[in-house]
Amino acid sequence: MNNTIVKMQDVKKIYHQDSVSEHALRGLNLEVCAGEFTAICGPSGSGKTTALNIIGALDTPTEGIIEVEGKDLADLSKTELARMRLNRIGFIFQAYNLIPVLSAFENAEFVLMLRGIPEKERKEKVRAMLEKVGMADMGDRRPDQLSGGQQQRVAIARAVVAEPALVLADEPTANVDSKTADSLLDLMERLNKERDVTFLFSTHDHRVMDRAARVVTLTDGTITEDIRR
Amino acid sequence: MIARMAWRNLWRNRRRTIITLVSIAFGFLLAITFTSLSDGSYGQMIDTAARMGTGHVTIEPQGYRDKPGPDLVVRDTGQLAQKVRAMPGIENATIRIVGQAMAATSSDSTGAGIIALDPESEQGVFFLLNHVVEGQQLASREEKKVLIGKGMARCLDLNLGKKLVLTTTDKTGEIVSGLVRVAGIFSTGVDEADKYIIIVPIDYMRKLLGYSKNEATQVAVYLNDRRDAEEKSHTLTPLVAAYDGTALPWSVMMPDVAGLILMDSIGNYFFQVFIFLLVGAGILNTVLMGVMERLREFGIMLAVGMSPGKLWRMIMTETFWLAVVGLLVSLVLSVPVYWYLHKYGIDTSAWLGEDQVYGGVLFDPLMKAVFYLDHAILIFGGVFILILAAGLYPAFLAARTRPVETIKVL
Repeated sequence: MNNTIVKMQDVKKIYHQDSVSEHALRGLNLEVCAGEFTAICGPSGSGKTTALNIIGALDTPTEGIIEVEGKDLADLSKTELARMRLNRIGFIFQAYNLIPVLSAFENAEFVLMLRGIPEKERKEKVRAMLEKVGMADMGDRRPDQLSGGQQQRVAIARAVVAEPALVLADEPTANVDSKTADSLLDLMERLNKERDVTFLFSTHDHRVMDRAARVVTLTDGTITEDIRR
Repeated sequence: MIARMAWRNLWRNRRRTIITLVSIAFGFLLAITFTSLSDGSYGQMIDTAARMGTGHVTIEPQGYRDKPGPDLVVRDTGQLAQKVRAMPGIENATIRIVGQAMAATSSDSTGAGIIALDPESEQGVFFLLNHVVEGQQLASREEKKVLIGKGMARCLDLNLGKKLVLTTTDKTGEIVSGLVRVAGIFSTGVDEADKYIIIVPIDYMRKLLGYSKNEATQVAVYLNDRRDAEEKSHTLTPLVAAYDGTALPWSVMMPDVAGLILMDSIGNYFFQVFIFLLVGAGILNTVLMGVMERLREFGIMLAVGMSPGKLWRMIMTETFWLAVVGLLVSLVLSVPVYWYLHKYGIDTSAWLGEDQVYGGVLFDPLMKAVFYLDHAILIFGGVFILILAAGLYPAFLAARTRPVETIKVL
């Protein structure tokens, strides 16, 4: 695989609080290729979340270069970054983070609506995606009427329905039981294979690491291990 | 979907939204009640003053304001009044002669204000004629009979049918006198009127003053809507100039009444601004709380690609819905209250007494609400804009949300 989708070059992130400086990332170098199913693991405070935040253009590095699909994020305006997140990146959050006033169907539809996809087309896409994630018959339910696993399925549908180039997932199995975690991983693995969606996880979960084709281990803001299977 | 989300967000904290709606409706109700009662009272006060005195618009001789005297007259008042009556928005126009005289009996005398008029055309128009409590109305324009107030009757010890000598100066400046009899006694409750005014038939007064048949010192113009007084006086100016007259609105003729209304309006205005500020602060608090407790959610929306502008629009749409529902609730609450106040009014006589006189004008103790469309639009629009304005800052805050700070973890 040589089609690089994410490239981090000597990326540093330093947080300043009062007079204390905390180095979250210490010169991170990482390349992720299209279609990869990669897990970034490491203990708490190792910089996993910071790395994903920076890749997802939610945060900026203190130093270094970060490119997504060949575009240097430092060269993009706030609007262009928002547009890139909308069109090229899907997000799956640990706490699901569905919009509470929208139904499961509408949550999945939300990103397509923001993209301005015509109603008929986006309804078809959402219907097909909910079918794929096993939530077709629960589309009209609000998040508070769904279990954690069901909410995460909807969150996956929301992240993938717009066919992004990259899906960033933070501890997607952390808040669900092992059976649900397995089925969610099955789902994401299937989407990765069938739709060639690139997944980049941050995780503590061994089940995720076992399934990942590549496991990058972070310790104190640097990569200490990078295993491809 | 933005409008749908905004609508649903409005009802996420149902109790808080309902409390806010009630506060909007309460502010609206206060504004409507105070404005409509004030408009009703002012209208009644101005109408009473106009009917007691010189009409909503007064046509008087040019220069009369600066140097009043019997030598200044408006010509061809019969023709002028006819032309004025034919104009749109004019209810009536009546011809009068006003001036001062000495009223004397064999034993006593007092200064008097003369209002000479045509009894027939003034019936139902001139306020004092409706308050004759003894005797009868004047029967013709020529007879030597007068109406006096109860205060003057007491002062001069006069009864019905008693003789009275009026002494004044005529058109040429000569002192002239006339003997008249008391036909009736009126009582308005306004001391100044009851002690001072004598109502005299107009043709008798013309003869006494040496005026020709159509000369007079005043044409009182009554309007369908008192608020048109300024505009109508301007419209009438070129017409009346041809008759040596000038047209003045009631606010110029009765500066005391106008000043009183202005002062009361200013107090009312500040009170309403204060109420609106309180309501506005309540709305700002609600919308701001709604925004602050959803920052994480906004962070998620921004993270998945919603633009800050769209998020701003969503919060403003929420505020828009709040305004729409708030105004609907306000109308539901205010219309029956207004209807009651319009139909039955508030009787203040129990607290303030029957005869309330302000600025020399009798004030009806029954306060009834009257609403004008422009005031309704002003209050409606004002509340709407106030609510939208209260949403601006929270919407701005929401749009400035930094996802990485509000989501904390990706």
